[in-house]
Amino acid sequence: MKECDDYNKLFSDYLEKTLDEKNRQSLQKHLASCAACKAKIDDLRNIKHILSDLPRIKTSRYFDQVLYSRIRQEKRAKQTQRWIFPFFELNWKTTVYAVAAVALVFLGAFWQRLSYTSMNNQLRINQIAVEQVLQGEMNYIDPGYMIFVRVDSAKSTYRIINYTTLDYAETMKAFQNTRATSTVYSDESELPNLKEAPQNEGVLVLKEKQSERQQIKNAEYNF
Amino acid sequence: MSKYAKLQSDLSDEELIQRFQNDDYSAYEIIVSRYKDQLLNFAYRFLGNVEEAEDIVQETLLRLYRNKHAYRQIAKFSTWIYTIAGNLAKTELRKRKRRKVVSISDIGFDDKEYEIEDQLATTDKDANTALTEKIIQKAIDELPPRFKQVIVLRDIQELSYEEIGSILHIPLGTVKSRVNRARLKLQSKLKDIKLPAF
Repeated sequence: MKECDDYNKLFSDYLEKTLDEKNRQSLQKHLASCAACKAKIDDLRNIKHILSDLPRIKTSRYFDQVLYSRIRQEKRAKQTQRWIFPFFELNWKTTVYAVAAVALVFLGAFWQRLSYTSMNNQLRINQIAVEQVLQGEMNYIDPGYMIFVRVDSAKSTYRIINYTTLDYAETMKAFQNTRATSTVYSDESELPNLKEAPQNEGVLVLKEKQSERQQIKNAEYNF
Repeated sequence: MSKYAKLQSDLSDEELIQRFQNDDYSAYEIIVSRYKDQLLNFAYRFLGNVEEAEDIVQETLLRLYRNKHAYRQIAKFSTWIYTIAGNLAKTELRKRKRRKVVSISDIGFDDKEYEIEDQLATTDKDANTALTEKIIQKAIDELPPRFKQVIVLRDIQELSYEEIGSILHIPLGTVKSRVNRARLKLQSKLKDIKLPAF
């Protein structure tokens, strides 16, 4: 004779109406005389209904935008690799010299406008909130875009954005609320004249890749 | 909807993925629109966190994009994509234990608005219903992963036992057994709470 534990194992199939006839009749007979099992199966039936009726969540309104932006970025990266690689194979020395030359020209063009200070150990790099970014039109930091952030510095502390753009939510999770205010520009052309920045504020320029990051500080300000 | 778009939307998942494998990218877009919400629902009920769940879905769909040729028509497409999402979700669960999670809500981050479709169309979603949902989600979160997977896939996503078995690579009997035990575990967690009767 089956015990309640044995009947327990049949509950799911019974509820799914997939139990064979013999076991079904046996279980129904048992339920008629066992209040505990009857109560349990009623609860299971209830839970099954509740679970199936749980609200369905939908993706955020920027989901598609983010996804397709990431896809475009991957496509661009692949295309760039295809462009460089064959050239590299043909003449690697020329490639290296060409890249170095372009880098020097780029650096030279910005040298007069920007002063470059390398990060030192005294800087504490914190993460800042980007609500202003996200409340505006720009709600996703696309890889390769330059983010210009003006922050209030407090006691020589810089606050910078650090992000991995392949993982939007991970990036956003990294930000903690601070008292710092920030103004974010989505394009290099919007970068204000550094000399007009009020005292004790800094302007930081970051790019995605560690190797390309520059921390640009106006030399006139003391931090 | 254009005639072409309608034709595409009538295509099965397997036909769409085949078209995508032949570089028809509009087929990919239809797959995305078909699966993004249901995958999010699955990942959310499994992880209990909406932002993490959306990450999982993003990554799943990116992997589909990158590795479209990895799909072979031996299995259902839904099985394949749920397997990817499920593996990513399990990985995320393991990673979660090793790091501190900063909740987006803590930073007043509200630009992402998540719509929740109210399935109880004829009933007002009152405070009791919302509370019940929270309690149930908490109980689901506390289930061991092997039970959580099956109960989410069966009772929430309403996949068949056979499909669940394919996704999780476990025999049919094991699926049924775990579903049963998962429901019993949930029942014991919720026994002290008065849930609405159906």
